Amino acid sequence: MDSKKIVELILEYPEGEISEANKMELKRHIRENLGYSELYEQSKGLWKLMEEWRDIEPSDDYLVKFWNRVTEEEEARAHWFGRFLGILRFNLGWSAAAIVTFLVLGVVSLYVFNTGTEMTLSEADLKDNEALIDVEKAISTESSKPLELYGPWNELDNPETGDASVDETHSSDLIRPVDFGDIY
Amino acid sequence: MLSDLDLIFKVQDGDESAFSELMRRHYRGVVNYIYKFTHSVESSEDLAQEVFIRVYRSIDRYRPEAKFTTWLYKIATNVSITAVRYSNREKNVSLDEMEESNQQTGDEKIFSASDFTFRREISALIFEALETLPEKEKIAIVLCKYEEMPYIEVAEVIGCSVGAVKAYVYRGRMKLIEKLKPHLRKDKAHGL
Repeated sequence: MDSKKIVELILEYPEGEISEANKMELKRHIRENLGYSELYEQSKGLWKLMEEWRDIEPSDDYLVKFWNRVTEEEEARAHWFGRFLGILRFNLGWSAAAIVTFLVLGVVSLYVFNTGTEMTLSEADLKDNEALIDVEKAISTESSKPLELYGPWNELDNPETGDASVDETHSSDLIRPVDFGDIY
Repeated sequence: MLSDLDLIFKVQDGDESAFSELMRRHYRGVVNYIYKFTHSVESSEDLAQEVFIRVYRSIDRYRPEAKFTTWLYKIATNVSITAVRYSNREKNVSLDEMEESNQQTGDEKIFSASDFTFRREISALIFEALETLPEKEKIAIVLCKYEEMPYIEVAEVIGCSVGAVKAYVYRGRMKLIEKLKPHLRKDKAHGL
């Protein structure tokens, strides 16, 4: 057993958490070594000195005090909770009123501002509008006459046969029909 | 007689008288444990009330894995340490103020303030010696010596290993021997 271990055991000794074998060896060291013996006496003396610090007696009414405090704290908690709920209720009412007012004002202002902004057209604008309508009508009519706008159309319908005759002067521009007899 | 655990179960079922019985069993111990940290009867009682209020409020969450006294002393330790830290901070502030006023009025008062540390009362001497120890050494010494708690429980209260508790007790005890040596010699001469 080294000296560090002996010192540790000396300081632990009064609590009695030492094995019997260690206790025997420790007693031998204390008997044989003056330094260990002195430390042992000091350690024992310290514990005895500390016992001189006497316990205090709590007041007799500690239970009454305790339950009073519990009741007080519960009441305080209930009071604060009630106040919190009151504030919450108050705020909720005001918030709802503010939202409703905001919505009503919004709707009213939209109505007021929209009725005063009807579109007014000048005379020139009206003419342009009419011209645009004419053009639209013209291009949407499915007859060849209005399409003359886009170029010379020389096709003349044969009222008797119903075949379309092709103007020879422009025949080169047209794609000739394929003669399948040449291929087969 | 019902065990602490049985009483706790009763409290959890809404039986307040069971909590009163728990207090009857442990209140004195808790007050005296806190007293070792505060050295003030009045504040020890106030803090003990605080400890039991906390226990009462959280008793529904108590699980029997830990011993009730371990849990109780853990709460008491936290409450005591917080109170001590707070009072030390206040003390430091007032000491600073005192030093400032001493510098203004002269140095004589500094000596009278230092006389305060040489009180003869034994409890005050031990309290002052304990005050100089690091928190964990102090807790370990107080729990081992005054509450006679086994190392394993002290370890649970502090939240460390049994080996660490032994080291705290060993170091703390060596420091206390050094601090109280003159009184130990004197006490030995008087038969301690």
